[in-house]
Amino acid sequence: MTDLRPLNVNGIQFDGEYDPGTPLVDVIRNDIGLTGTHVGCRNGDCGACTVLIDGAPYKSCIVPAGRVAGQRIQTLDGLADGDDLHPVQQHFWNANAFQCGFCLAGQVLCTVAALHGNPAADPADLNTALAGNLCRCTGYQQIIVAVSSARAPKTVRTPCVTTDP
Amino acid sequence: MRSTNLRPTSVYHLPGTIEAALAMLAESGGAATVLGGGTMAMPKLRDAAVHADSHVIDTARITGFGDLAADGTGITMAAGVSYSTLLSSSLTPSLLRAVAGRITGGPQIRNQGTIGGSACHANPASDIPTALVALQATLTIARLGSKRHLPACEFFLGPFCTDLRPGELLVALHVPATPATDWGYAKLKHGESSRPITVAAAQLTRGADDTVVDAAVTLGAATATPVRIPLDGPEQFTTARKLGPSLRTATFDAIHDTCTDWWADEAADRDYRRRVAGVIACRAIEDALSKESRS
Repeated sequence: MTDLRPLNVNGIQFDGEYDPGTPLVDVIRNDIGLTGTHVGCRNGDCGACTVLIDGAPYKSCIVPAGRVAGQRIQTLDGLADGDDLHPVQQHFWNANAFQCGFCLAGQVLCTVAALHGNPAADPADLNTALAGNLCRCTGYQQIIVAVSSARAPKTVRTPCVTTDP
Repeated sequence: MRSTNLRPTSVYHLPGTIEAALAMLAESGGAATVLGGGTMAMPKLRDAAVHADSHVIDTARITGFGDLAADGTGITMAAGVSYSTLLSSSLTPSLLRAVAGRITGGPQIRNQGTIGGSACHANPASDIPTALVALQATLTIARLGSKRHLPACEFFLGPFCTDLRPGELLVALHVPATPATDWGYAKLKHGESSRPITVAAAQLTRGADDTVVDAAVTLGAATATPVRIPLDGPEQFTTARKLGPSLRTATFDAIHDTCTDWWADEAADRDYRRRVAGVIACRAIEDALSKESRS
């Protein structure tokens, strides 16, 4: 079934055809051509396909695309301002908080959403905020370093973290 | 490039009212998949587990389907109330608030998953069915032109099996007010991203002189369907803070006398669940005892 209700992705209206019953991630990747949102498990488990819808995180592999027509969809692709990374991305960069990078969209966007709602989120809040994202590289330690530094942007920037045990 | 249509035979509907959804259900002649949040149904659609279905009816845009309301008798939740709404609403019964904060899947699933969807999915290894049986909730089930009401304990017939019939839609869940009741909740799971092996909801109701006059624990995930187990001698809990050996033994015995249909899945077998059920039930009771609602 073809539907012409437009999707608003990263502030740009997509007027092309899409199947409204298709998982949102497939429309974002295949119809719109934005590939920062990854397809992992297709079960709603891993979080690699996370996008923000009206500012709140969702796993786009289990959201029918037609459901979110007219809402603000934010993907990882639209987070940076040109060459300037979003502050949360910069903290991930500084902390080497990714290995293969596959889970990055979920880790970064869940952090963005959590800190937007509560800039002073404590570590327990941030653990809860990231609980829906699996890092198959098990690189959680560096992710926690990045997220912890992101929650206090006014303090001294965390130096690049090495791989000391 | 066109998207890969994973369900070439299905037609997606996004009704704006309950009546429109019921009309679509009736028209489909039973060959429809209803999406609540969709967290469980969307993967099933991908797997073509419901291949014969020709219609997908998404309830996410039904007006008022995500609302809670209070009246003198208790709280009524529309079936589309999400876990996030349960966490943020001041009307949410305390047990459901405790449940909603600890479900598997992170904030993304809390934003999308719904109380009604979880009830209709009826996975033994989940939280909502047990909470609804513990709260003695009443479910409102609609079909085109009529409605019926059903106690939660009669809704859950078996693993992934409810009393919902073709053409019917779960539209609301009513939780009766329980004054002077302390609720406790405990669950066992071994990984953040895994499903519960046992969940237990404890209910301690106090009389005018603060004596516990009614005590019950509802067990789920350990059993194929939630089981509510009244506990004998409720007054013994009146001054307890922790459960001593005799209360623990009595609780274990009550569970093993009542529960027969133990559940097994990839997380744990029946024998393991039978052994841990009493321990988790005692944790739930101790959680209720810690609520300090006594005056």
